[in-house]
Amino acid sequence: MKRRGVRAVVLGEDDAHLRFARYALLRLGFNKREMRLLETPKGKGAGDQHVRTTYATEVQAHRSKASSQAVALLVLIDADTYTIDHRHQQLDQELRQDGLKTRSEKEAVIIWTPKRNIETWIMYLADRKVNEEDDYKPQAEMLDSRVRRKSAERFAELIQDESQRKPDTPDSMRRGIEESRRIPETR
Amino acid sequence: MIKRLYVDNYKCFVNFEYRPKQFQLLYGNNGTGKSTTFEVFSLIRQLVTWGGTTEQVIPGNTLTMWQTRPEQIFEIDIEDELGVFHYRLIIEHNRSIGKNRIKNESLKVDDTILYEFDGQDAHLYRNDGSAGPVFPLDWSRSGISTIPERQDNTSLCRFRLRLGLIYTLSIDPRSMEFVSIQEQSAPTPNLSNFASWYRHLTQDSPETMGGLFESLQEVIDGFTNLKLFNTGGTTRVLQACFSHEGANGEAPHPYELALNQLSDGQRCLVALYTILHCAVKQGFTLCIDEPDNFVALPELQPWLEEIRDQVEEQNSQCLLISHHPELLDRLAVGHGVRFRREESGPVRINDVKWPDDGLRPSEIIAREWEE
Repeated sequence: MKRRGVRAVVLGEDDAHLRFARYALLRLGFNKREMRLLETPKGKGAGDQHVRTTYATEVQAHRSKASSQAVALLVLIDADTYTIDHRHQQLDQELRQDGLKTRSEKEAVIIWTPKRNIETWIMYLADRKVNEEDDYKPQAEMLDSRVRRKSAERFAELIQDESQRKPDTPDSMRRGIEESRRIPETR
Repeated sequence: MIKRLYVDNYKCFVNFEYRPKQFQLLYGNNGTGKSTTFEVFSLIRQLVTWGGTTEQVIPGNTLTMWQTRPEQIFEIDIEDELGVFHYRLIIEHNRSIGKNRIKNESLKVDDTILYEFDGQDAHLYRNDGSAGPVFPLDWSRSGISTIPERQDNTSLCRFRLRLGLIYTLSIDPRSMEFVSIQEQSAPTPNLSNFASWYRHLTQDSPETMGGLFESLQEVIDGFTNLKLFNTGGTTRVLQACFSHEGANGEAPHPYELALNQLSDGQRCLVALYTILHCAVKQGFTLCIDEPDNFVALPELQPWLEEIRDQVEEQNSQCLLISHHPELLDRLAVGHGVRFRREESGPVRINDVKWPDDGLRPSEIIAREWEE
């Protein structure tokens, strides 16, 4: 098997983000050596702050590599009580502050912004009724790890096959699926 | 799954209690008792499952140096489908003549007693806790190791079997033998019997080989599969098979290397992925000391993530010891347990309060700033 190095860097708020992304990417055809999960410094308080402060550095690194190789930067940041657009604007602002251009339409910088948080997606994909206002973290943490993995894999299937999407798909998930079009060579 | 370990008066352990989780990283400075914890699992296994003598397994020099008490206590709780096994062992040492003996040994499952040795006689109990035979016993060996299985003592025998599924491993690639004379059902701690263990696995769980080869193909360039080459009689040589892709459309060139011809790191990868695919099973506890040794940085996170998945999916248990930033950053906070000693005193485990400074866990640990 030809080794190609890391093709997807994952920047997330916490372990739940990183594992969700990993399972989804595996289902999308990435192998385990082709992704790099960026661990979150602990004790810092809010994970979203870590994502925002690291984002510009990672975008810069991504752009440097993307000029010669098909690589992706996958960013996960919970919307929490904000809007998805607000989160995107915050990330754009981080780039501007560092003197970088904001994301272009064609860049493989993918931003998944689950609302209210990743647990909303996990619960929905595990066939639970959800809205995007309530916090399902306690319920999701009770789920068996296999169910959580299955949820992430189902998300990947939704990315690959539009016909599987249902009318009640949360808006933030629809946005996430659209964002995933930026993933290069989705296999 | 091991739920609890208690050790008193053994090396650096005095009144020491550890409650392992399903997947956990043991970290801390050198000499803080991490490897000794694995050693205790191993000695209980040697005594109870393999029938070692107390003087072989727990010699007098294992008493805590600054203690004068002659008794050592070992307790282990193991959760099983039958309930929680509670095993307790008291060893009494006579320092003046350099001898020791079992003073007391007992086993319960939940509240049902299965076995007790009172220093003179062994008291056997049936699965339902009713009293069975009483007989005098050699006090230098665990009675549990000697009892033949019968219909009414299956619980006791299950505990003995369960202890045998605790693997304490510290991979030494240079000790990994490439020749096998016969199958061996369990790995030695440094995997020196790797070829013989692998030989057993090909017979015992052939269904795992496909996944193993697939993983190794991803991490070792040109690797295709492992093969046991028959060199006559019962002797087999473990070979790694490769395929060198020809340039300009030429046909691939296959070749084999004996295990000892692989690099140290490649041998470690073979060992790590064999453990992952073949030993992470329900009921097993894997204790791996510094799995990061010899392994290149790009290989650590993929292996770590995969073994974590496997442990959860198989409902197995895995305890790791590491000083490597890659493992510390990924596991120290959510899945870590810190071992420490103060003034060369006894080992303690404590909850860590991570400072609110935005540093990576490995950096906080390097500075010893965790509280």
